[in-house]
Amino acid sequence: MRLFALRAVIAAEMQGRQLMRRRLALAILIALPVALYLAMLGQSRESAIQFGALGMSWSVACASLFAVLAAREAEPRLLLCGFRAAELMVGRFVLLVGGGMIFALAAALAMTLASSPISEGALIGACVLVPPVAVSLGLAVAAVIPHDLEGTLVIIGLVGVQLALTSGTWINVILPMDGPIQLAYRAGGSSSAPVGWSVLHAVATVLLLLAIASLSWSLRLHVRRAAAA
Amino acid sequence: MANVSTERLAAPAPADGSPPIGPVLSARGIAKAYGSKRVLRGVDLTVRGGEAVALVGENGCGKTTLLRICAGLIRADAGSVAVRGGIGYCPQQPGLFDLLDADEHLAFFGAALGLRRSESIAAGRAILADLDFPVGDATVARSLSGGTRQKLNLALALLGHPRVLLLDEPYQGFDRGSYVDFWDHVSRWRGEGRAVLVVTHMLAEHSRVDRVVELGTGAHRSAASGAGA
Repeated sequence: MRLFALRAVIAAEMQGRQLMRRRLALAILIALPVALYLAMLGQSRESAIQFGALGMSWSVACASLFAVLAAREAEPRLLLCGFRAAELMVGRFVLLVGGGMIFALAAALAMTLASSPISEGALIGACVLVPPVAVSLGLAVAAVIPHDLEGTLVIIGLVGVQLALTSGTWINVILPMDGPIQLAYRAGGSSSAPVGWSVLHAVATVLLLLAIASLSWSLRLHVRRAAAA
Repeated sequence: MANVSTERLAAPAPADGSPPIGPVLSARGIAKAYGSKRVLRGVDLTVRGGEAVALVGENGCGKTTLLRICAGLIRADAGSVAVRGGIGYCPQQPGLFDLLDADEHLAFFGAALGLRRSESIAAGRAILADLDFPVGDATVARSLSGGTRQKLNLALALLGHPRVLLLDEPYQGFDRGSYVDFWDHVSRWRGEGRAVLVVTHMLAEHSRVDRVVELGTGAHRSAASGAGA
């Protein structure tokens, strides 16, 4: 267990070092949700919060996707040397969720001050739920479709469809970001979904997506240990 | 088996004069197809400790596939691989993290091998110094020259003193001096009792190894069976 934790920590550390060196990408990842939020701010409070949350989802999910894809060549060698896929995934998940959470809490604070939401708790809840769900989405997409363009388009599609839907349709339920987005609706004053449902949806989505990512990685990256000669 | 030639160029014997060591890597009946294209059919290969073997053959004949199967990175359709001791695998394309520097790579890969960070960096720097790599340079991998990247790639395969070295054209991009040194290193690793399997197209260097194993091409896929294997 201790070895697992030590390896997960170094995996997280190396992921963080790589992420911090992509300054331009980081700036764009932050600018995207800010731009979406500001663009909608003049129209309605509800839309601005919703777009801000969806923009964060795009940013965090794509950061997660590209974090995996950047390691595609090197990771099999790490496994050959003795790392387990779970150690790499846990390290990456913790780092990305942690980084996303810092961004999300700053965004929640800014949106609370700028939009005066109906429910501040719901707004903070929405922002806090975005990183784990979006990171899980990025990990799952990267594991199933390990190609940058295709993966990015799938994330744009899955998150973008959410934009086109009104709250309360059955399609919402099968979309990964529905949990935090329902809370964002509630923060703007128009959600019918109970808070408990949103949290449950987010937790179930994270578990499902991580299971997909784990299964796909274990099949794709499994190192076959040779018998002793 | 068709299209196979093997050549014994020198008897494998450790440099210290001790008796030859038994098989350290043994592949039996390896078959692999990608879709309808059969790449390997019934390939046998044995490499003893203290033996350096060159794996040669035309482009697309399955050299890299065989190496990756021996490393455990891909699954053979048929056959088995047995290995005594750890494997160091150096892929043809550097399997590196673009945004990590050499010391960070050493720490990361060393963690996989169960080494402390300081141990990994000290051991790795010694290997890198041997390869004439600018030790201590904090340049990230993607900013290194091709040959320098390849030296880091090779050093990671050597970290932890693996008993079996699987090297897939590991000298790509090396300058002339580094290339000559590389074959001296092969002789040294052989003398240390390691099993060294090198994919190479360099006919001039076949005198530097104990055996040359040629994978054939054509409708009847070959087996490669080293003399005495």
